[in-house]
Amino acid sequence: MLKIHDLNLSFENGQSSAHILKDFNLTVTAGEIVALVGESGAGKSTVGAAIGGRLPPGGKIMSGSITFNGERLDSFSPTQFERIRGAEIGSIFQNPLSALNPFETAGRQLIETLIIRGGVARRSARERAITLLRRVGFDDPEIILPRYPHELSGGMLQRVVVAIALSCDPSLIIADEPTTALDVSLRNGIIELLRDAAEASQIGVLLITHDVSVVQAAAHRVCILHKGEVIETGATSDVLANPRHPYARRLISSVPPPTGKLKRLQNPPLSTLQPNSLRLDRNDSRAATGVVLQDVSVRYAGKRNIFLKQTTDLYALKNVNLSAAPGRILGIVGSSGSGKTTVARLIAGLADPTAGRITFTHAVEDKSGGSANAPTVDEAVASPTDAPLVQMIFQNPFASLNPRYSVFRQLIDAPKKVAGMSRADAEDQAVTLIEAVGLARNDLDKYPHAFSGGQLQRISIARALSMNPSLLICDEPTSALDVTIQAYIVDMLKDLNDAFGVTIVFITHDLSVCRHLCDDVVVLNRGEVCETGSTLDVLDAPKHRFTQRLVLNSNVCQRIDDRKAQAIKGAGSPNAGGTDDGELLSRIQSA
Amino acid sequence: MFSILLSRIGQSALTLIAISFAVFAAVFLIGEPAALYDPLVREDPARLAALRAELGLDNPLHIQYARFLADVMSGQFGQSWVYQEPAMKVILERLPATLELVGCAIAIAFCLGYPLGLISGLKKPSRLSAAIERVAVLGYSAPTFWVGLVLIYIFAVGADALPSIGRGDTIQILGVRLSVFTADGLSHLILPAVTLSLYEIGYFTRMISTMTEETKHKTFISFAHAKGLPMRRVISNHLLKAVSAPLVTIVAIETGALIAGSVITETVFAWPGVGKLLVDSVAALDRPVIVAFVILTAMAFLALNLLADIAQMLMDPTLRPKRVAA
Repeated sequence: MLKIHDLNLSFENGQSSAHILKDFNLTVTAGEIVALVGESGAGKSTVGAAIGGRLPPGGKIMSGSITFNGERLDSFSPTQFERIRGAEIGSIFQNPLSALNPFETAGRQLIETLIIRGGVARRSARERAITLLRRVGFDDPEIILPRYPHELSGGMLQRVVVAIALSCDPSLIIADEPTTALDVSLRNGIIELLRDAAEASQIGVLLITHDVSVVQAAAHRVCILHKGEVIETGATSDVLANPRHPYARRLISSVPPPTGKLKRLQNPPLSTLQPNSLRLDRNDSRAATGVVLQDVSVRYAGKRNIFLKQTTDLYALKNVNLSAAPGRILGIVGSSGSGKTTVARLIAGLADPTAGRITFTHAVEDKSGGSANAPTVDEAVASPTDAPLVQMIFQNPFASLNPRYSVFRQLIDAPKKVAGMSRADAEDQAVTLIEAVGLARNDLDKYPHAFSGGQLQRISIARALSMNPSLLICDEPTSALDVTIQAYIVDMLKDLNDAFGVTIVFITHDLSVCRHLCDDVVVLNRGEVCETGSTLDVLDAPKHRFTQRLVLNSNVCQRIDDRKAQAIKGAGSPNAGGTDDGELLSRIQSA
Repeated sequence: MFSILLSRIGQSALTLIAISFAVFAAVFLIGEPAALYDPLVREDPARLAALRAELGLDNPLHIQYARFLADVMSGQFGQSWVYQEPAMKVILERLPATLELVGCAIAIAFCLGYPLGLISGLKKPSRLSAAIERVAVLGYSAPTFWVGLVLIYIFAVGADALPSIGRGDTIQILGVRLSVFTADGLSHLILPAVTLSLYEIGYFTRMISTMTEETKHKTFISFAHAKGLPMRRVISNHLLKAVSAPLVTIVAIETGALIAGSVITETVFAWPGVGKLLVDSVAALDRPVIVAFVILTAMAFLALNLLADIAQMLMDPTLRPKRVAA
């Protein structure tokens, strides 16, 4: 049905040109889900754009062919593409909130497609829209139609997008990272929808993703793309079980295993960094710093409107008790909106608690052996000399590093200005650090735009280390990165903890990373702690209902395979997904 | 939504009070009001004291301000010293001329700037957009008085095609004297309106061009293409909606700015509007008129902003309160 043969594609920008795809081959037959996997910049999305005739300016097909249902798409004109887009090729985008027009209701955006591309009469379009929404798992589509995108959850919106993609009975769906922007608990629902579409309607699906676990759960065949070249292709189970190409092996081994604990995934060069190579002396009594949150709440007071009717207060955190022991790695897990980031901001002093106490603890050398925790400094009275002890690494390195400062300046600014280090020392340290995180000395003079996400995140780590912190807060430091780079960063943090005894608070939604890295774990749900304990205890034998669901959902592949084994998939349409959706729906209904 | 509006109105009232205080304080900075009111009393302390008592200037400041506020509330801005009429009446008589001029200028700017900006934004990067942008920059960097003089030189002096002084014939419509509806009035309106709109044409073009370019790269536009919608539909139904909503605010702010800033154009073309009145009043130190003008302008600004807020709330669903309790 879709056959791409020896496709060469390049981007031209003035004088320079980049060869994006080299002799690319791919076929998708009816009813088949083919996954296209690779890290960012590998050219995955370009394939999807070329099929849909949506190549960005400068993109040009040099040679090869794209044949779709007997037509040569590579020589199509824009108007010809308009005819087949939507009607024969449906598209699913990564982030449904940005894919849908915020100024239009979900219903109108669906119905518009039905009328213009599907040739459905205006009168029957609404009826058809309702049928479609029911098919993608909405029990009560009537209440979805008049909603604007911001009034629906991410999971619901992605279902609407799937409905739009299915609306004109296409023979091919291009799904570009359809689950990446969604919470883990919602991924399964979307994957099941895709499988259902492939099986029931004999639609071919090109699934573009960087997530190997999604591939495992959904795809019949897989095609691994690396720097524009297909390095491995075949049936999913074969490729994942026996990757032959070195990169494919690296990619697959980078995925933290769902169970058990690997000692080490990769080999970052941070091991070369000696504790004494940092110029900034740390007061020995603060060799490792822990943090204790006692009954901490963060409340956003409801606004009083003009009639003095107060909307209810919103708790970002409610009576949270947790502690990170000095020298250990504490994982904080939970789904989006659970208050994970608020905890990070509180510890870093970027936000203040409405109630409760945050205390830093230090491991004090005890003559009688072992170390004892002695709560000493309150957050509020921390003196300027204590300030450098906490450093934070943010989720998105593209946003957290100042684009107008050279790497060098970002590495020496804080030591010089905050810690009062001499310029020569700061420069020395910058060189040591940049090499320690695996970059070269001459990278110091470059600006952030010259680096990839993984490199930038390593620079972020170097920047945090420049202050020689005794407590490091990492807020989803790897979720914007590819798995191979994630493995690298995670190991780097582990080394840091081993070599320096730095306490790490690691915030993540990814349980397998947490399992791999963290000693202890705190599970947050809607601003409340529902379970704490040692990582393996909690994740292997979750007691709280929420933790159980989180653990269950985290392993997409296992769950769907289990179901298949039990042959309960015959039930057909997937239900409305996680309880979050369910609750939102019931609130909409009662509104 | 209703309560949001009420609180906006409340905020506007507070702003107005703050402005009234600023005006009240500024009046004292100009000089001793009693002496300014009657220059003859300046030399005679006894007569000055008597006049101060008569005018209430011997009261403490807060009482004076309270009285001033009470007067303003009831629409009393005092007698114009020059025209010997209530200050507000003097202004309101000239306001229609200014509003007419500003309205035409904004309309011209919108009708030209919107399509030009849209074309430039959609075609970017291209020679056409670059050319449009360059002309737009020229439009808003040319000084108004100079543009006015050049236009007068070309069309009034050189070609003798259009008049350059005054409003021409006016007719009474709903109790307001307007020039747009008479041929003579219209011909008088053209030059000043074009002069005043030139800056705004450039500004709107640039603004809309930037917003269009930004919006056309948004994911929801790509998705609309991916859905298979024809270009025309993507622009009319998806792009325009996103571009237009913030535009309302810009138009409102610019309208307010023109009402307050039409002074130069009105002076160049001897247009009998409030701008020219203000210049004359400042020259003559006609204090009640100045005060009334400032407060009226502030009110116009606030009213326009309120209208823009309402319009934007109607156009942008994300600004409306969610129908789901969050």
